[in-house]
Amino acid sequence: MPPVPTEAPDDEGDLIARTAAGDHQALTELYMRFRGAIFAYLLRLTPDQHLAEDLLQETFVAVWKSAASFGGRSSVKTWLLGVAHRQAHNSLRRRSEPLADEAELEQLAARDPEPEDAALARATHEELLAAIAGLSLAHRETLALAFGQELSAAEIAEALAIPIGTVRSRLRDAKRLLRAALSAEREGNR
Amino acid sequence: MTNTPDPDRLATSHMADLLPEYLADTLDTQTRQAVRQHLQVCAACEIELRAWERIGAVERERAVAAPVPALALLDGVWSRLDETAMERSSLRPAQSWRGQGIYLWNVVAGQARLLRTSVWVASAAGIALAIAVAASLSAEVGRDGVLSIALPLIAAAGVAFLYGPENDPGLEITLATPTSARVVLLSRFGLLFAFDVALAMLGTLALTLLHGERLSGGALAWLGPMALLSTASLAVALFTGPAVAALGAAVAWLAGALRFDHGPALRFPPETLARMTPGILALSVVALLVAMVAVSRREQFAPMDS
Repeated sequence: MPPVPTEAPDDEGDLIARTAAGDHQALTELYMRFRGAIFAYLLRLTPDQHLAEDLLQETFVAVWKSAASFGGRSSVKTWLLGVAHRQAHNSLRRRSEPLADEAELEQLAARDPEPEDAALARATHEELLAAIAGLSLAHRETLALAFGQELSAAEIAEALAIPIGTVRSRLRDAKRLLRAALSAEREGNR
Repeated sequence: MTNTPDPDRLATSHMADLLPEYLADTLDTQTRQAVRQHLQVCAACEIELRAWERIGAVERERAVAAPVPALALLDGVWSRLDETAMERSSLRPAQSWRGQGIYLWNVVAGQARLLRTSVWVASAAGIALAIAVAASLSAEVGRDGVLSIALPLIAAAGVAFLYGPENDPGLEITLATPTSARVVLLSRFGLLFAFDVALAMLGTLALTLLHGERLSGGALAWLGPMALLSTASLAVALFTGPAVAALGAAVAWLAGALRFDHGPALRFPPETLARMTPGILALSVVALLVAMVAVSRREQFAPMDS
């Protein structure tokens, strides 16, 4: 499937170019436009609002420093989310927030039973929210980008700097892990 | 998962992978149409889509519920950028004039605290004594002469003890900082020399006022010799250590003033050094440059045991 072309709108690309040239007003404009989206994404990575604010600031510090590296291949929003992703991962790694162990997750996903998504469809909002919170950072952020930020698989791949196949497998695995967590909870409650 | 490849199942699995994007409406029209048609005939994918709808609803709700961060947070961005710029500028002198001014001021102020108190006290006491002796004499009996003997010698002796491990136990740490040994030496010399000149000026001014005279060029005859003798003493001290430099400066100074016109006598200041001429200024600058080169070579090749 060809990825959806997502060229940056001209004025947004222009904002990045002006930021790269040292225009404070341009960075302020970028902040005004995208602060909500980036903050919402960061809050899906950490429940700590102060840490999320800190990461938001680090993101815009990095945007100021690296605006010249924006190549226009992706949308500005995708690029900004990619910068936020790198800042968050650097910072959370320093704070020894557990990161997903890919190999372990693959195994876990492979051991899962055949789909019984009806259980997932029946889960309440709160149960699902709790189950998502129990997922690894990599799975949480892929879900947040796909549904919260409504990025295509190609855009998520660009933002996270991973192959598009990995994006799809992460989504698949996230759903399997959610189903496993929810059915385990049902078993426990019975 | 089954091991036998089943074309229908593969097709189902392929469509299942596209369901999140179908739901988020990020597929191109053609693919979207294909998924839609598949969903009409595949109950398994239909159920799976319902599951994704629940997950998607939770994520969308979280995204909408997230508070909008304050505009004031942007101030924090600017101050962090300023901090990183400051960190960079503290490692090497800043590019702007203002930044360089601040940097130099910090270095000079830092060196003022590092200089031993005894250097300041001894210099001030020496100058005060010279002024006091001169005050007891009249202009005719050589008041200006006393000043032009004593002041350059006092300054030269003080400068000789400015620098080096024997004078500054903290020098090892000073040299470990990014500030170069040249800048350290220059700011120390500048500080002490300015201190000496300011005190001597004040004393000379007080003397002329005391005797109800006007400040003349002759009253400042010590200035030229003080500059040359101090810079020379600084340069020599870097090669020989402070004691030899101070003694050498004294001997050279007295030798330059020795006259045998009517039997041996000292004449101060020596005629050639009578006042601050361009020649004396040039010689002083040369001596200072020699000191700069000497201190660079010294810290480069033998930082600790020289």
